[in-house]
Amino acid sequence: MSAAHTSVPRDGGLLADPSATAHLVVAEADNEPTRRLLSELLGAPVELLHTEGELNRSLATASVGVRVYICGSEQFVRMMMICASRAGVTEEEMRTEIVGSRGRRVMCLHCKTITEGVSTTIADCEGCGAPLVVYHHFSRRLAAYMGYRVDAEVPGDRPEAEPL
Amino acid sequence: MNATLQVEVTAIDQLTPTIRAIELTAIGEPLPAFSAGSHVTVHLPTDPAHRNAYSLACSPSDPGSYRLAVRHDVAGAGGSRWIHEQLAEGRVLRIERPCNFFAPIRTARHQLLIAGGIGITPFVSYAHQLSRDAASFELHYAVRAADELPFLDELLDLCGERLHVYVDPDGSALMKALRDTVLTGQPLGTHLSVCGPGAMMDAVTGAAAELGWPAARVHVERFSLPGGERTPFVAIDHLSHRRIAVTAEQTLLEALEDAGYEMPYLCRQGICGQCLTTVRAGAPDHRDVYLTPEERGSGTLIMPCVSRAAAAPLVLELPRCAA
Repeated sequence: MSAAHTSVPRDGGLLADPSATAHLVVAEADNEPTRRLLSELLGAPVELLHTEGELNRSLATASVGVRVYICGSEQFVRMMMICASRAGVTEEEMRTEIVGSRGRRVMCLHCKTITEGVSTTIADCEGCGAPLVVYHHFSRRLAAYMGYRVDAEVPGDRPEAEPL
Repeated sequence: MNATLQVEVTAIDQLTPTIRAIELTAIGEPLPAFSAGSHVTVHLPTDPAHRNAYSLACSPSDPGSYRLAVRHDVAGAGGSRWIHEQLAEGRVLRIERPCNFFAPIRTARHQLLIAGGIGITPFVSYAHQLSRDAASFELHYAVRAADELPFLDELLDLCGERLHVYVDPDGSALMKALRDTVLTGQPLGTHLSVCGPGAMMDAVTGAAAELGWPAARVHVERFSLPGGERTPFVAIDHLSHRRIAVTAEQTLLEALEDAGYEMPYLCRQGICGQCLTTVRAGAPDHRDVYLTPEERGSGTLIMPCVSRAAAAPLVLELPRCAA
């Protein structure tokens, strides 16, 4: 699969969009990109949010014209993206940046368990224990990478896990 | 699938001083069902012959007949003038099968429809389909004068309070409403669809962009492409070296068809991409909305239904020639 057709979301950074009529800024914790964004948006209608519940409440009354900015760990950013897209926000209307942990959510294709915080190319499934290849196929609906048994093709063939 | 349909003009109804509705009924083969927003291309026996595309302004669920609405365009190429001045009931016409470049957005949670003048025509089929499907929508319909409101009663029946009419000689009432409320208070997941004169669509899409609407939420139906001057030029078949003269009145596609080439086509408006042709040499004058800027820049592709060449001949890769 070439990079041009990857399903993995591209995080373009927290760039302020001056055409937006409202700005929802979702930050996992205090971080530099969020502080810089908030200073750029000074004077504009901005809400600073930290949890899924807060984001859902704000999205329930939001109108087209809003932009959602999300900054935090990979897992936080992906979970908030799900929340925003369920409310009807398109990826064009989101700006994302990852700071901190890049640990991934990986869904085991065999038992469907999602293992969180995966940071190596091969990791054991928390459900069935199978050693999974963390494949670069990402589900936007589940906010998870696809994982399949490393020796599915050649039983016993297990390369070394490397950091992602 | 280039087979055309034979239809008879079974009714002509003068809806307004400048707009005529034409009812078309099948001869032989029943009329194909269509989806909201579809149009048909009508072969007009004018001299020179024209093919004009008109939206199907009727219910998609029961196509016992088709209805088109045609505005008398005095400055146009002559197709609408012929329909207004020459066409009579009982006449048999040839039309292409329905084709849709402006379908409703099925994933939209709410559809905001904005029509200017004769641009109401695709939204007539929308209003039938969306009200039948109990979809969430609203229709804003702006006209220049109170006697230019075709389909008003039918739309009121279908839309009720979802219909908003603006009698708006200079377009300012519509734009004010859009900026003050309509474009600023739409729930997330709304899609905007616009059909009307070019300047009106530019104003609406411009206002939407300023108010934070991303391009993916905004859809337009252009019924005229930017024109530009039409001068004669020559196309050359790169295999046979045959020279095909294209007159100022012809499109490149028409000239190739007249020369016997079996060209694929659908919309003949530079939108669908069916007639895409490879250019071996020469400089295309692109007038379509299909090719990407990169494809245009490459100089190796052309949409012969609308695009032309300036001076030097265009050397083309062409399909089989019957002649």
